[in-house]
Amino acid sequence: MKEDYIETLRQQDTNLRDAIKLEEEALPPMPADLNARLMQRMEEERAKVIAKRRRSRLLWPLVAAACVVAMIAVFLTPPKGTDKDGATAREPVAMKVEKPKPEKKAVQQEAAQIVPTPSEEKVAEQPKVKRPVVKPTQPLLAQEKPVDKDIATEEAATEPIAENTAAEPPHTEMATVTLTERDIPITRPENYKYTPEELALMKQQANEAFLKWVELELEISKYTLEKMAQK
Amino acid sequence: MVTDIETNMIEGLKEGSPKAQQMMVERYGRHVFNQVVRLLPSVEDAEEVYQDVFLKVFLNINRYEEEKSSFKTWVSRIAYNESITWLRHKRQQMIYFEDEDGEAERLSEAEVEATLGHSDPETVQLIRAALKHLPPEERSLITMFYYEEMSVKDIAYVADSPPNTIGSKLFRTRKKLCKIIQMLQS
Repeated sequence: MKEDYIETLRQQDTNLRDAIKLEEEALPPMPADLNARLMQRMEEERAKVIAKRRRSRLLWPLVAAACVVAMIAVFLTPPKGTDKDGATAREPVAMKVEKPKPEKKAVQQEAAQIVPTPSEEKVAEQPKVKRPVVKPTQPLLAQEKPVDKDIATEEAATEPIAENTAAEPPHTEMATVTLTERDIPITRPENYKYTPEELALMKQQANEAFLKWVELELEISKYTLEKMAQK
Repeated sequence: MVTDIETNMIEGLKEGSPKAQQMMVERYGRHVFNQVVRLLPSVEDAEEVYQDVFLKVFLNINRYEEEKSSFKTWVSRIAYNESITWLRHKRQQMIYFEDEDGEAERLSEAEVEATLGHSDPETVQLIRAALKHLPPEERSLITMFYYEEMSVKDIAYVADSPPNTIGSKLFRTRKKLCKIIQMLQS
């Protein structure tokens, strides 16, 4: 219905049709050389396409060769960390040789305990000394009554003890020495690098400190809770 | 729908034959140029777009579907789209009549028929003047309908719109023309 009506309009609107016809006739003429220019442009486009094809024909073999070379390189190159010339195997040995510092460890342990020593070596090699039980030279009030015989034997017995104590090495009497700056490892340039043992120890100490802090926090919170409960 | 000459020409175009290209340019050149120059503001721009249209036709000839439209309609579609794209891309300042108040819509069909229907040379001149105030798309639409006598379905294919929309646009453009004429007379 609508299409029919539109078709009738086409026949009916004579004024409009005439006007459009006149307008179309008044349009500027097509330039005579326009088609020639178009064909020339078309030739140029064709030449471009051919050149592009040639270029791609030349390029593809090179790309393929490069891909093959890359693949070969990938397959032939051993992955990182494998023993190519035994270099990686040697590395840890070199590391081990470089940094064995057992003395420092002893010093650090001491620093942690805050028990000062006169010298590092002595502390490390300090033997455990058995101290003999020293009996009192004067008899106790309860023991005053016994016979003089006993006293004589006692005196005899004390003498060798005194001798033994005199024979003891001087280092057993541990003098309290405060740590100097040179004993603190971090201030010495040669101690900037820590051995794995040192690092492990420091880690352990840090962990312990953290655990203690957590325990303290727990205690505090427990205490506050109790206080609150009491209130 | 497609003649034997056209079929051979299309085959030649698909093979990239310069002879077929030359033949096509000679056959449809004038039609394409008129369509382009109708939409664009200057001949120089029309020449540029004209060349682009044919290059596009030659390069995309394999996309032509015979069952959807005639070859001429397909070429018209490319020319129309290229021109509209050019206009949108350039964004040139052009002033056209826009029926923002809806006054043209309120005109009765009898008034429109009286203005556009009865043959009158004076009114024809007024319509020609009024046509210049229409936007390029609308001018192209009524030219395709009244001058090239294309069916609404073909116009819809060229403009890439549903046929109903094209019908509505035609009615609206007629009323708009009438309103412009009234304004010119007053």
